[in-house]
Amino acid sequence: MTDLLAGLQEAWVRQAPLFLSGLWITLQLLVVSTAIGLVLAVPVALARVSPRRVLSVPATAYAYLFRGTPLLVQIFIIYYGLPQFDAVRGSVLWPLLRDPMPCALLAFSLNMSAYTGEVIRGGILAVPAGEREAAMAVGMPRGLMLRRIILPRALRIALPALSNEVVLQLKATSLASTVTLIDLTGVGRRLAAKTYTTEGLFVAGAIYIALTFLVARGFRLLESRFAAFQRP
Amino acid sequence: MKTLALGLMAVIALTGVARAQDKVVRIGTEAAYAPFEFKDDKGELKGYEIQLGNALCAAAKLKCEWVNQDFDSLIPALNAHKIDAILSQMSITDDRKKAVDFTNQVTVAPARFVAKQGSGITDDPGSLKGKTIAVQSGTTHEKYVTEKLAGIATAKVYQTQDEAFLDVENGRADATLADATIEYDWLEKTGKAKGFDYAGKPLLDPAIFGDGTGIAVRKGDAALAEAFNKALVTVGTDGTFKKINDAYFPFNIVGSGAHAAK
Repeated sequence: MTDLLAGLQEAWVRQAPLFLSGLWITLQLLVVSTAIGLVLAVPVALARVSPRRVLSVPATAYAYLFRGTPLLVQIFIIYYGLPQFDAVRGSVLWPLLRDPMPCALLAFSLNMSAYTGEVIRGGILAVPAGEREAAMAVGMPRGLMLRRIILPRALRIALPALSNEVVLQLKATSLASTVTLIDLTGVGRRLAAKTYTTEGLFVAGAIYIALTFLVARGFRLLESRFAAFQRP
Repeated sequence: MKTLALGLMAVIALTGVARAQDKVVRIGTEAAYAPFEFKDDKGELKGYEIQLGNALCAAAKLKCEWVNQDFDSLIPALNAHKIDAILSQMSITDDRKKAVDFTNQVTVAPARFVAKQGSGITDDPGSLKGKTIAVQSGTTHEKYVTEKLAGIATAKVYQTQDEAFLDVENGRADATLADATIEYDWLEKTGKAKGFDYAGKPLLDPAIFGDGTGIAVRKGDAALAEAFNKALVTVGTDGTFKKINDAYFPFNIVGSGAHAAK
């Protein structure tokens, strides 16, 4: 036990700059992919609940495609699979897709939008019918009703579930280490490989726990600010 | 009640004995290293070292079982008693000897660059300035690029060598550094058709690349190391090793540990 503690201290103290650079990559992945994912999730959710089949069918297919395949498979296809086509390597997107970061962000963002799209859809369906009817009774146009009544209400209802999605997304970013990005997990693994021990992974795990705590805390603040009325 | 307790104890004692007798030796390997160890279409383990390992276990009268996992977690798994030996083209280096014990040399393993033909890349560090080299995590090749080529070339680190080859093919890395043996297999299967070839001479730096590959066992597990050493000589002298070698390569990589003691 004392051996492990000494090893942990050693791993942390000597490798702090490495862990910080890994943390920076993880944070970039989390923040950017969550932001893009949330922005895309709203139209996905709206299309899912739309009575028009031209909108609901493709959105449902999209949600099932990304929720039905493992994220690891998606990231491998985007990073290793796409460049197998000469057309991709010759395209204007290649300078972007050549780097692992945009590939990982693409996979994580699309994945996030599919999952949170479902969460927001649930929120939309949970908006009390009376509020919708009241808006219609005063003659509110559909777009305005969506913007002023349904979406704000749906997002508030979905907040606790969204916090869960962000925590899951944090841990999903660890898959970036499979496409040569040295994120927190990547640093932990590299150190473990170098020292033939698991201390690096322990330190990485501790940082993930701290991050999860911060995310959960942040969402609690959001909930007390925007969804206080929902408390029992 | 007493008889029940006695009976239970007897059962426990008996199973304990049975366990000790047919103790299974779990050999760890990383099956993304064709032609040494890989999974065929049916998902079965195949390859040079799988055949060799099975021959060694037969010669040593050991009951063996293969465990497939990432290369860079093999040594931690060995020391955590998840596996008992490692046969995965692991080079015998001083670094690793601090963590595990090795058998005698199983195969030689020259390291060599592979790059696009006409890239100008050779084993001379001057030709590698500013290049990106794909290497596998936890290998001697990673160590060479990160230590000997520090400030000259950049290492791009992959979980498996298969992925490193893929990215060289995709143009994300300028070259890969790996064992010349598995590069031979890749060049024959896909690389040559796409215009890749060996670049420069094999690298000789015993301080980094060690002295060939061996079977790793836990520190102090002399009995298992000795059993494998004896089996190595057996398969080396009865022609089994040579036969396996020739089924995969037109050159001979049989290590010194397989030669009869003089």
